[in-house]
Amino acid sequence: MKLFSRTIGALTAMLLLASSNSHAGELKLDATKSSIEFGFSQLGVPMKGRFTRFDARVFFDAKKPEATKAEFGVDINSVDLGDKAYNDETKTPVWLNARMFPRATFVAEKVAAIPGGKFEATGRLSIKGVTQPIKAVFTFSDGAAPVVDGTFTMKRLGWKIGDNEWKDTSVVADDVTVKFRFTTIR
Amino acid sequence: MTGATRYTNTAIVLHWLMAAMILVAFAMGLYMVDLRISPDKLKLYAWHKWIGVAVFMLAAFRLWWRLLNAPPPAAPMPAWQQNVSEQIHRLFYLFFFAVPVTGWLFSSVKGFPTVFLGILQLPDLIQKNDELAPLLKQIHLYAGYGLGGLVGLHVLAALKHQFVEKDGLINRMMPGRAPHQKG
Repeated sequence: MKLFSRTIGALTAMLLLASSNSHAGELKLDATKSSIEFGFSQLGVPMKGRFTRFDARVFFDAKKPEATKAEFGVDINSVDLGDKAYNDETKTPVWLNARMFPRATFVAEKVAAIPGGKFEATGRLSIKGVTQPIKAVFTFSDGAAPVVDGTFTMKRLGWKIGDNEWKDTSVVADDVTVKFRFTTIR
Repeated sequence: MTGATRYTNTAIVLHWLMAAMILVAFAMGLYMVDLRISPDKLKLYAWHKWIGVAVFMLAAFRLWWRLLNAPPPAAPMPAWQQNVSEQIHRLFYLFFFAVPVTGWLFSSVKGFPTVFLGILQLPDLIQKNDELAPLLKQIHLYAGYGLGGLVGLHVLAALKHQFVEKDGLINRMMPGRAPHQKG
């Protein structure tokens, strides 16, 4: 019995060690305290929107940013511009085509520390079947619940977001600023 | 009776300019609401709001001007007509402000700031509120109808003076022709 419990204890310790090793630097998303928002200009009027459903798989160590592995997924159908008519419009083929492409993804390819205690992530952003490189800048606040807070600017037409009549950037600007804030659990 | 027989040139310009702007904004408002979302719809909304802001500013200037410059005497008419005319003109000024302000509030409550000419952002006096939005929409709509109704009464009265009474009252507000006599 003693041997048994000792074995269990040893096994448990090994398992814990193994799991902590294999998940070194993994940050699990606390979706309730995270956000992905975007902003753009419409005839000079600042417009705001957000996605309410997204997921992430992130391995990040501020001391070894180059070893970062990060993948993000966004549920396009969770888009919210604060108005039902606009939400419906945004999901149509001419904009995000939510039926054909319900998921947008970002895969980080390179993360490096930059001056000012910040980090720069380059990677591939896939929306609406188009993949283009982007460069995001973020800060990392360590602690029991580390927070990744950052932003990037994208040109919507590069992803064919707003096709046909909506290509007119004097009505809806080409630049879309995306702000993300991920509260994570170690 | 000595004094001017016409409104000042400033008042005449303000009258006709605002008349044109109000008619255009009114027609735009009725037309744009039922359009599907398109660049044209967004442009019409933007221009409608810009005209509204401009009407508000012109009305403020016009009110100040009106208080400083007494209007020329009207044609002889019964006291009750004189009285109704005066009340209608008061209501005009009330609606010059009420219609743009309710539109501005409606825009804010829908979560869209008003940006005059796409440059000057007005503050949002109220926050986005989905429950309040339909109410403000109705208030803005009926304020617009109210102003439209006043325009209708005003035009009918002007036509009556011109073609029934033939008293030339409209010359007070016509540009150019009759000399602007100094008293």
